[in-house]
Amino acid sequence: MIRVGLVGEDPNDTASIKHLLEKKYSNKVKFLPLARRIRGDQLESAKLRKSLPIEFTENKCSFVIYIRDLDAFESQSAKVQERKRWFKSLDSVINNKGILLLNIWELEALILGDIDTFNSIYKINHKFSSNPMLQDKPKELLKRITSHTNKQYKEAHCPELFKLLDIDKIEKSCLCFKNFIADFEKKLKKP
Amino acid sequence: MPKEISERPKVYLSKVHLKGFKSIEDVTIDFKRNFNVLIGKNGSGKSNLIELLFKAINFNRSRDKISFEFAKITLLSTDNHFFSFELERFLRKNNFINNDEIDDRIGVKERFLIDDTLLIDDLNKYSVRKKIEFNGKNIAYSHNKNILISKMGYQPIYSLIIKFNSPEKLDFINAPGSLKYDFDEIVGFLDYPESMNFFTPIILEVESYFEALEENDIDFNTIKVDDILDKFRVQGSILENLQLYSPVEDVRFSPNMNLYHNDNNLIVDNIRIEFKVNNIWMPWSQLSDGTKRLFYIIAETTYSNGLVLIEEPELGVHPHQFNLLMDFLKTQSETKQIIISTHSPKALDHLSKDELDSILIASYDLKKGTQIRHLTTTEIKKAKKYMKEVGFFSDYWMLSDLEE
Repeated sequence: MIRVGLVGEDPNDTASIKHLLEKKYSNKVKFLPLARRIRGDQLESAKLRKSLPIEFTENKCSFVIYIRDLDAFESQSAKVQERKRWFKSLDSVINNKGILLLNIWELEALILGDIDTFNSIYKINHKFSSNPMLQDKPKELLKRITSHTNKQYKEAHCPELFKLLDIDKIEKSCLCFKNFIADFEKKLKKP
Repeated sequence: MPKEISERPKVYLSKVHLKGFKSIEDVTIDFKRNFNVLIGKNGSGKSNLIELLFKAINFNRSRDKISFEFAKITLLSTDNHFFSFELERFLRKNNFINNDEIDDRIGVKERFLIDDTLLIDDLNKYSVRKKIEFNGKNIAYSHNKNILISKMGYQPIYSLIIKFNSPEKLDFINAPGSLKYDFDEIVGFLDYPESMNFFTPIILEVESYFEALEENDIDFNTIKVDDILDKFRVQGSILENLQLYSPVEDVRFSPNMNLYHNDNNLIVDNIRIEFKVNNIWMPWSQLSDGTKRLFYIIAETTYSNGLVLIEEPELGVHPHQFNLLMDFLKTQSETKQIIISTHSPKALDHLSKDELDSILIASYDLKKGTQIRHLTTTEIKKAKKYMKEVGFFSDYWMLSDLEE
């Protein structure tokens, strides 16, 4: 088993991606959250820079997946560069052993990539046939379309929700995730 | 055997094996002699453990109904003897004649071991008198652990529990107390107040004073409040610790107590203590909740000479003040055994690298109930890395996988 660390900007995000990737890779990869209870701006903290090498070594990881939301579209290059700078800087503390999963706008865009599963869980029938990478604030959209249903979408639902999503569908509809999977598979072959 | 109890060797809680109480089904725990910190998520059974420890250590078959299935309490003395007390609940057979209630049929089997040698076995009747031999002396076995330990030449282990909330009824503190000295009784005071333990020696002091007056045929009519006020004094060690570790600058008994006497008795009424905070004297009701809790913990822990069990000392306490409180508890643990439960990362930062084995982690297992464990060797190694390279032990607790 290859041991792969996960660092995300929210424990829910990290757990969600862990569950999603496990659907396809659980037979050969063990995913290990490394920066537990770290969230938001703490990803830039000196404390994480110091603790990450310990977690990386103690958990015997081959490499790390960093999960971040862009909070913008991919065309907003200044934001993209800002995230990439952060990734390179933090990754340097473990000798550049990581890859970045940069969610375009935010994690919830991946849910839009498999809207059928979301519809069946929340018992709605929302039509979404456009490109999830072009949807701004997808979290707000999910909240809005479930606002009048018995079960309203909350970020805290994500870890369980991602267990049910179809990873192949998401890969097809979300370019950021497709590119990430390509990087990930390369990394698995040559950690 | 030294005459002074304080000069005798001490015993402390070394190991427990507990069964059948709330979430605790079967746990065995080793304790450190001085300071022990119990952590664990909500619902893991920390409070149940603290409560059961207190019940088992203080169990007195002539007074208490046994509320747990089994407890083996092993005390280790400073001269390296192990004293083990086993208590086991059993149900007597129903004789169908008296149609006993279940409660009446519950019995307690009792065993006592010294250095793993069984000396008292299956003792289940309170009236039975047995003798044990220890250090060449025959000693009458006592169901009361503290009496037995004392007879064997050790300091008794009076345990104290400080729960989340201070007790509702605290005579002399949140309500005025009253003491009645009866001239006709052999024992002077009839009713001891329901309050904190540290009042005990103060009451004894007052009682001795009245006894001396009676013995010397002093006319009680000549005694004034000012004469007895001097006897109502909070111990210096408590005052010193309050000054060092809390906002309470001083404590005194209110001079507004009343004295009544007649032919048969003498009553001191309206007894209550007052607190000096920010240079102002005030009653208990005017103290903040945090200050009340600090007073409760500091006064009672200072007074205790045995095992101190404290639930979440951080509750309602400012972080800077909590830092001082932890300093106090660590200092107190040099001479008494302290077990605290906590959710405060800062509590763990008071432990040095060499004290990490004093951390106990509680977790709840659906099949096995509450489980308690120490840090593993790997966890201690990782914690030390965090302490050296990241900052504190709390960083390990907060950022890593300690309780996963």
